[in-house]
Amino acid sequence: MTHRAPASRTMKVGALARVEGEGALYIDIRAGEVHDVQLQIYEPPRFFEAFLRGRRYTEPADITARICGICPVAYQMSACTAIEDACGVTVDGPLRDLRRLLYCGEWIESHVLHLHLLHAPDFLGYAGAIDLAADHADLVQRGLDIKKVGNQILEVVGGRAIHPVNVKVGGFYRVPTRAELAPLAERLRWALEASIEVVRWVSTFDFPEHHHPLELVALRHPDEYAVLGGRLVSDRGLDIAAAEFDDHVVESHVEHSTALHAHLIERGEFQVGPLARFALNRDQLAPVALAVADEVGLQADERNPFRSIVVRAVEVVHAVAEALAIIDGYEQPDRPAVDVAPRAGVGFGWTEAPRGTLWHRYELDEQGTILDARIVPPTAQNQPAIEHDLFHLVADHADLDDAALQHLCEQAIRNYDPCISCATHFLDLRVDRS
Amino acid sequence: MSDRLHRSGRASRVVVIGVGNRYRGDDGVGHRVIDRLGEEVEEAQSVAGHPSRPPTGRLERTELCYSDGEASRLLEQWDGADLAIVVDAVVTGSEPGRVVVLEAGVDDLPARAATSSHDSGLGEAWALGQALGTLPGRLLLVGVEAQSVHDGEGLTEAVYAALPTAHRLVRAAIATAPPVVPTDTPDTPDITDTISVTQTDQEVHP
Repeated sequence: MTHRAPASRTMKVGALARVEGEGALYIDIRAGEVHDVQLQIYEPPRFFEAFLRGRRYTEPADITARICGICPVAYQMSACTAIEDACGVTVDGPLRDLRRLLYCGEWIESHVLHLHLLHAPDFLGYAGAIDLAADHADLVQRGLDIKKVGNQILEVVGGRAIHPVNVKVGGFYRVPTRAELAPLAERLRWALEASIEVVRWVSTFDFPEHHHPLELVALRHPDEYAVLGGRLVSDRGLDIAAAEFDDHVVESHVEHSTALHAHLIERGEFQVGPLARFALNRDQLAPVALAVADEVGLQADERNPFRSIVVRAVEVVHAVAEALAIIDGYEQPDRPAVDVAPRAGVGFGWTEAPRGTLWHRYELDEQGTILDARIVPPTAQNQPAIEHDLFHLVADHADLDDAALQHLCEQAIRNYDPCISCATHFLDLRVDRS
Repeated sequence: MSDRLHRSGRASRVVVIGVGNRYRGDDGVGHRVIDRLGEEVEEAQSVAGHPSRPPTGRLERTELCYSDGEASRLLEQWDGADLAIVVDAVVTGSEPGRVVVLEAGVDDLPARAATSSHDSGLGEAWALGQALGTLPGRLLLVGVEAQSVHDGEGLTEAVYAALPTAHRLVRAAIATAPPVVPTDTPDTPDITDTISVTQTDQEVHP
């Protein structure tokens, strides 16, 4: 760690730009030493877990979807699989494929939005998407057109693009016909080529060096690049089932955040999200995504969080290819859902939201009334990881002036595409060099 | 409009977008206006083909959307529209329930503190659309001054009372859309001439 700062200073960024939700950043440097770095999340807590209590087991799919306008499908899928687990039901076959298709739509939409409108301007020296679009309208428009394909998947499979209404415990209220999915396939074929070009474009950016790797944690599934369930594994030997999450992950409150901080017991900070998924599951990417990752030199040992934008672009290629494969092989299920009868018990479910692993736990009584609910979103898990990155970045670049340091820090936070609204349970920068 | 234009034109595309969140008090006003328009558009569509009533070519073709107002979504929703009307709650410090009609590119749109994509709004969507060259032919904002955007369903009394005015102004704007847009020469009538008198309209209908 280098300490080249000429003086002590405090930096305060009152409201972080281009993140999902509201947060601030506080940096305290004393005599050249980084004293404190805080990712301050001040968005008020939303008490979703509390008002799920007493609701029917059929309701979390619609209630938890309201936690986020960007990743509602993740909430719906984690909720449904957890409740199905409690009720002893497994949804498989074509209905599970349809769930994966819906999830592909969300990955496409969320990743492409973050990549083009929120993160790319950092690397190209623009204040934001509008300035980027003024010089590179074709690139931004291409991104918006890819995103639109994701929206269309949500509309066709989920009933609407925001907070889908067609998801239920056991499957769907209605399943699409092959004819309804056909136009999507046409747009996806265009999006496949376009998203490969996006990978090539973002791979040419200048990436700040940053090598302070954390334990990378993601779901792993025996048969696919994990999205819907699997075991939680890490690059340092973690390998657990959903029911064991509480035995390995502890959440704690810190004064500067309305979102709980998560740590691995006796292991500390960890990182979830695209970089972790790619490191652990690269071999399971769709061949076309793997080929473009190879082409741009992205290997499983990639640990620079600034290159997560390239990983996100590769995951868009993967999601587009997966969606195409699902649609090409789609046979309309006989029934839109399997029956799920309530029973007393505890169920666990987790899926890979665009930002990382999203864990749900529900306790039901015999009538299916929810006695207790717990939700651990990816941004809550990533908060300590973000602060870890920021601490080392500030220490390594303490000679930068406030404006340059602030820019670097905000860019680093956006590596995680934090969704503060989901986690609040986020950014405004203060650097203290007193 | 000349016969030549009718022959070489296409039906104009009008989109009305209700922006907001009905679980945040007065922020739901945009969705409430769309609710009511939805019934009328359905009714217009059901009678449009009746021989006794020739189609006017406007209301029955009006597309209605609910939106959370996120900029990239707005760009999608008004994509290709000749006229886009956005209905939303606004906070300008004016009297609650006051309804204003503003035209993008002519008037200043109320800005939000765009600190995240969750908060990106109409002004940002307009600027992005301008940079991309994908703006609708015309973009109007029918804005209702909000009193409270706290958690929970339901409008405040002042905003509820403003619903008929907001609705009437949207209908007035729809009615001034050209039935046919020439594919050769643009010929858009000046909508604001028609509705400028209502720019600070406030009618109370208990």
